[in-house]
Amino acid sequence: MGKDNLLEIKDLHVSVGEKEILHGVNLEVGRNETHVLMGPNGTGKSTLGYAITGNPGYTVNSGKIILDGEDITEMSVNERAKKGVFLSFQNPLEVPGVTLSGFIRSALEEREGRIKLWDFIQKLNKTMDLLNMDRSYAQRDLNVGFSGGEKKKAEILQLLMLEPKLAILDETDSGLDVDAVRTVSQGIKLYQEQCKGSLLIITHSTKILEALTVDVTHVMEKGKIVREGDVSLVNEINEKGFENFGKDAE
Amino acid sequence: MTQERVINRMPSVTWNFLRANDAKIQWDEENTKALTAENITAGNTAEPVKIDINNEGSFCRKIVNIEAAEGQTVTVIENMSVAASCNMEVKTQIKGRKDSVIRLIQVQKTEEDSLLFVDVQCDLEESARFETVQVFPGKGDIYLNNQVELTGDDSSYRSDIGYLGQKTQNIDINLVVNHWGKRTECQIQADGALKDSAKKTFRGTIDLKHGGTDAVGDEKETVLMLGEDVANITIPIILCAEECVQGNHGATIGELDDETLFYFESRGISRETAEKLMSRAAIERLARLTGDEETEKAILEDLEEVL
Repeated sequence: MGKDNLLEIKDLHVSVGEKEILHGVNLEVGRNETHVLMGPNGTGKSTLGYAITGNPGYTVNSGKIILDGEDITEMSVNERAKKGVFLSFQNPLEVPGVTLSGFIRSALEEREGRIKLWDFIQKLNKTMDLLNMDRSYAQRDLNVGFSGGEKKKAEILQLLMLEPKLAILDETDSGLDVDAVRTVSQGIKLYQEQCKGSLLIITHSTKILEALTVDVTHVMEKGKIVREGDVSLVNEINEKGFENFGKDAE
Repeated sequence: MTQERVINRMPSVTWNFLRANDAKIQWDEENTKALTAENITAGNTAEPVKIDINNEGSFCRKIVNIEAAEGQTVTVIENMSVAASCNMEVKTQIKGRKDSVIRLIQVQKTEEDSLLFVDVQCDLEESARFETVQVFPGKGDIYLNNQVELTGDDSSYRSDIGYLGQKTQNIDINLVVNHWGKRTECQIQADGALKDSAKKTFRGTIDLKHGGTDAVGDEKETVLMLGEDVANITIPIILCAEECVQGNHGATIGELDDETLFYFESRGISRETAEKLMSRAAIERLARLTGDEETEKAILEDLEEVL
């Protein structure tokens, strides 16, 4: 494992049911680095996110996932989360009856033990203000009746409250209007600056990246990483699309 | 001597073999102690009227009468406690005059092997409103019967019910709302969770009577089933004798499915904590709805105790 790597993925093969989606993915993410994972639809980007998080619907056939020097390939989902893995969902679930505030507090208490309610509320209010979120959302049922933008903000709110070591953002910008993208992007920037965590941003669009400092760009095609480069690769994709990368995968 | 007593009977019955048309309890009428009745008149105080109702003896009955005169508003909070091996009936009779608003908050704390029968009868005149918040986090068997007559035009009823069923607890709910007046409205929301071998029956009848034009009735239920031996019966009934009316019902009967569990676990929350969170959810929502700090605190403390 590289000296400064937080995450290292070695020759990862992942199946969903009988079908193999990832065919030997290798990826390294350094501490406090921001990586972007791009690629056309159906190439396995979200699968990689789920595999790192440990979704039981995704079977790791071979390969390793190493976080902070520890092999987490066989770990349960909640153990990985406690170790610092966070996935921002593309379509966050609605959970009637459980408030956003109660959900975040439970997640924190599972990790840190009992926390003082006053301290929690103070931090929650401050973070919601930073995200331009109406504070009343904290007492609403988790994602129930939230607009697409509010759901994504609720995910970023969880990111900032839980302060994970590694945040995987799966299409966090999809379906958002310009203002919402800007707010979410500001939230991600805050995570970069305040939490000093590492980011793996799965995206089609580059709007969300405009306010961020991107260290490495990965391009995925047909279940493999086919190109890596700096932020200039994002510009290349913007200009030429993914067509040329398809040949690399074959 | 106890005899079988039939309660919570649906106005429109279904197949007998389903054994869901009514509930049967064992009751000793001869030895039922009549607790001192309460008479509450709206307008005497702006503060909520709080009544503690504790069982006395093996069988007892308490009657509470609430009357709201024209344009008056009242909130009544009934805290009911039943000791182990005891049986209590609480009958609340309500009359809402024109433009009155009545809020009834019922919270129960029952011990195991106890029985509580909560009977609410309400009649509303023109533009009167009745709201109930009924919270059942106890350990004993609960029987709830709400019968609401929307007699006056533009009268309305809102029902919020939350329960947590555990062990061998039986929760039996019967709601009947009769829409007699024009433009009457009712909204029923019953949410809860069942664990271990708990059983719950929910009968919700919205009866849109002839002449009650433009009436709207809506009932929704969410049940979370967290044990392999739990049993749930849901019977939503909408009777309609008028053309220009709306009746809606929806029921969500769910488990902690894989997708939801993954969402919880992805935040470091274990299955056990996720189940606990969801079990508490319905009760916590209603605790906030009470709008009374002391009652909210008491409900949450009771919840901690039963969980």
